[in-house]
Amino acid sequence: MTDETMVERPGGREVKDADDRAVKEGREMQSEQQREDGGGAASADGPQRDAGERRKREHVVGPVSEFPDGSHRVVDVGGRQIGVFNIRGSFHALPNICPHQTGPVCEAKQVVGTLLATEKTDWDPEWVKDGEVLICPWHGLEYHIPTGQCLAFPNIKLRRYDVSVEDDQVVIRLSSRASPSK
Amino acid sequence: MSEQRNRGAGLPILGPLAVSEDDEKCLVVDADDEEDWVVRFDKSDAFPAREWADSMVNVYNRRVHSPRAGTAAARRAARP
Repeated sequence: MTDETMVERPGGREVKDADDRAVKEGREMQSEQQREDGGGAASADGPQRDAGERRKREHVVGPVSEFPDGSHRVVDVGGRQIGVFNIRGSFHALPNICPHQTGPVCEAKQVVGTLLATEKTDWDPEWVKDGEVLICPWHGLEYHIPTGQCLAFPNIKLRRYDVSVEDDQVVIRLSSRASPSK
Repeated sequence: MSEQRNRGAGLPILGPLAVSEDDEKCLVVDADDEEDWVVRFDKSDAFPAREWADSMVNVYNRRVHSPRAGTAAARRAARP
């Protein structure tokens, strides 16, 4: 292996090389997050632009076994903190920053659900989104993890990073060209 | 070690932040890469998206990128 670049992993182990860490282009993007990030389509300027500006930086953040069902943890990825969540086998990744006062939202002690009262329930509160809600430890703002949606303020949304499992490893892709959807 | 040090402090996920705005929304973005966003504030229903975004950026940049950032005193001051 040549030109190996060692990168510190969250657990303190050093494993990745340049090929793992960065720049695997041209991969077919399939997930919803990937589509939001504009993955897949070639740019009008051709492959060189894709290579230079639209790179997908892949980061292995650990084996799946370190992210058991119902767990979450914050990892350092490319110099930023990202919360990784395993909700019933589905992985999600959000920035560790609350839009309210920039608290470490992903460091919530536990993931919960929330109460919702609607006309449909005759305004009786019902427990919904069980295991899918994150509560900021600083001031208690709630976020729906799978969508990044703030529950109290529908106009606020956290970015969702593309995360997947490949060869029993959890992989986060950072795209410098993000296309935020509603 | 750095991960441990950052815990609970809400310390950097990126470099300084900035606001990127269009007709529909305000995005809080990496000041060095406006396409690298972290939070979206939608302008619909007269929501004060710009105010929210400016507030987030100001709080974050002041806390994380001021000369005193990282000190215990700065963390205490930043946490309301």
